[in-house]
Amino acid sequence: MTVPPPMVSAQDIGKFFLAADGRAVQALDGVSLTVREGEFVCVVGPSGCGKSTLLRILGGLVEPTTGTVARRPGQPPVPPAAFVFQDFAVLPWLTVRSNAAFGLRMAGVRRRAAERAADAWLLRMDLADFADGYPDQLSGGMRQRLALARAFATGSPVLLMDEPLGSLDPQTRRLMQEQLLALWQEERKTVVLVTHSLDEALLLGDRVLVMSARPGRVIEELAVPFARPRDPGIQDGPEFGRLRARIWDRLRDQLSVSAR
Amino acid sequence: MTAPPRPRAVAPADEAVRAVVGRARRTTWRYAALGIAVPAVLLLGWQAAGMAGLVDTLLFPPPSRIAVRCVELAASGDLGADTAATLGRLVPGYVIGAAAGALAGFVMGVSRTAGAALGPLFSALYSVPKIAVLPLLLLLFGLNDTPKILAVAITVFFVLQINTASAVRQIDPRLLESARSYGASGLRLLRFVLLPGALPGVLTGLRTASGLGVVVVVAVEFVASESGLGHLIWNAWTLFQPDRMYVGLVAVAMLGSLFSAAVTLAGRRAMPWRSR
Ligand SMILES: Nc1ncnc2c1ncn2[C@@H]1O[C@H](COP(=O)(O)OP(=O)(O)OP(=O)(O)O)[C@@H](O)[C@H]1O
Ligand SMILES: [Mg+2]
Repeated sequence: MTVPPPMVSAQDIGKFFLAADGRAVQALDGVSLTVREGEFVCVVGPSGCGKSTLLRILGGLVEPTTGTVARRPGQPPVPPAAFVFQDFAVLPWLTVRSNAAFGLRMAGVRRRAAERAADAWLLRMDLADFADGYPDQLSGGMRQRLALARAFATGSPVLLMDEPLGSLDPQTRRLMQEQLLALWQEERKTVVLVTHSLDEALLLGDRVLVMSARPGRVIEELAVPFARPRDPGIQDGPEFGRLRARIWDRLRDQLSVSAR
Repeated sequence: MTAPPRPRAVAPADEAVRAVVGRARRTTWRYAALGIAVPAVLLLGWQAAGMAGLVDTLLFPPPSRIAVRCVELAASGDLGADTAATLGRLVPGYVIGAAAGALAGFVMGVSRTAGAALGPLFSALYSVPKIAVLPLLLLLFGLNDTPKILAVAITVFFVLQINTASAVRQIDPRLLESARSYGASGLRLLRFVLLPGALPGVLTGLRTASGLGVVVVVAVEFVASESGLGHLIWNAWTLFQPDRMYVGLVAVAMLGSLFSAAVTLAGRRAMPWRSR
């Protein structure tokens, strides 16, 4: 069996920020990561450890202070990577449809064609009835699905998702996890997903990276052994519990570090 | 044949919806009525006080006399001519000032260089009362409409420039980042993000400027004009015609509120996403 080619790979990434008081804050320290085509990588870590920063660096929104990032270039009009942001960041002045079509429009696709693709994704995300409304009229969960539709509609092979289900209530969240699992199994995108939920990471990911408290380093890498296609029922099995306990063990030390 | 059960099940919900809509509409009407009732009561009080001899009707002519005078002036065409003269200065000045101010503010908001180069200068100029440059404008352009239009334009310009520049700078950086991550740049960024993102601030500027524009045009007409509502008021003072003066004041008040209402309405049209 051949190994799929890398889509994004980061070597020895370090990142410093200038804090408001003029001091340098180190967000990341020597993070290396290779994500291969069709792989689903989940990143967990304590709050403020640099997960969002890592995602931005992988997507090319932020330059690393040290280290290098290589991305497989997109073929226009398909962008090399599509983001789902922690706070959705859909544009309030565009209709739901225009938001879903936004990535394609920005890539130069004509309005008609972009909106047709957007409509298909709104339908899949159960938002077709709201296509002509504005994001303000959507609930939090719906806005989240809109952000997903916007990312998927670009057709980008790489999705970088920052706690995309973070603001959902537990029931909706579980439902969306299952939908995301099904969606990924149909689409086989390359995904990097930042999450605070260990269950989510184990249910969806092929690999789980555990990061240390700031400055963020990868302290543990865990291959998830469950075969694809996965059934959401695996969450109730004993193996799932064992893996969760193992990640939690590593994470707990870091949480107490960052709480100090 | 039995009646289908569905309409019956739906009817109570329909009724509930109707009740909610009805209540909302009644509330709207109640507040609108209140807004009209208070001034009406004040006017009636004024009228009654005048008729009872509680106020000097020479200085405070009762509303009925002002209304009569208003009809006279309107019928003779004087009021219409003065209103037209004022509008002829206000509207061009406002449009020119707003367009130039929004453009300058936009450029200063987008380009840090332009903001750094022009920001301090403009904020120094902003604090100069614009009416103070009228003599200079009169000197430059003579006693015609140009200096009056320019006085309005300059006032409106600064309001728009400052509001627009800060509106552009205050666009949520997370939205900018998200737009950029989807490849927005150049003209597309402008059209899909910067312009709509700055629009609320521009409209705040337009509303503020509509009020200030009326103030400035009237003030300019006080001192340097032979026509217009400002001249009507000033002239009524010099000829001691209080009721004519009140007609002018009422006309200015109406003009001002209609003008800002028009701007507000246009703003609502321009920002359909702000419906809630
Ligand atoms: N633009 C910035 N300027 C200054 N400091 C920043 C900036 N972005 C992030 N930081 C700092 O870098 C650190 C990592 O931030 P980041 O948002 O990547 O954390 P995170 O792991 O995503 O946290 P969370 O789980 O709460 O979302 C934090 O200490 C944050 O304050
Ligand atoms: Mg984050």
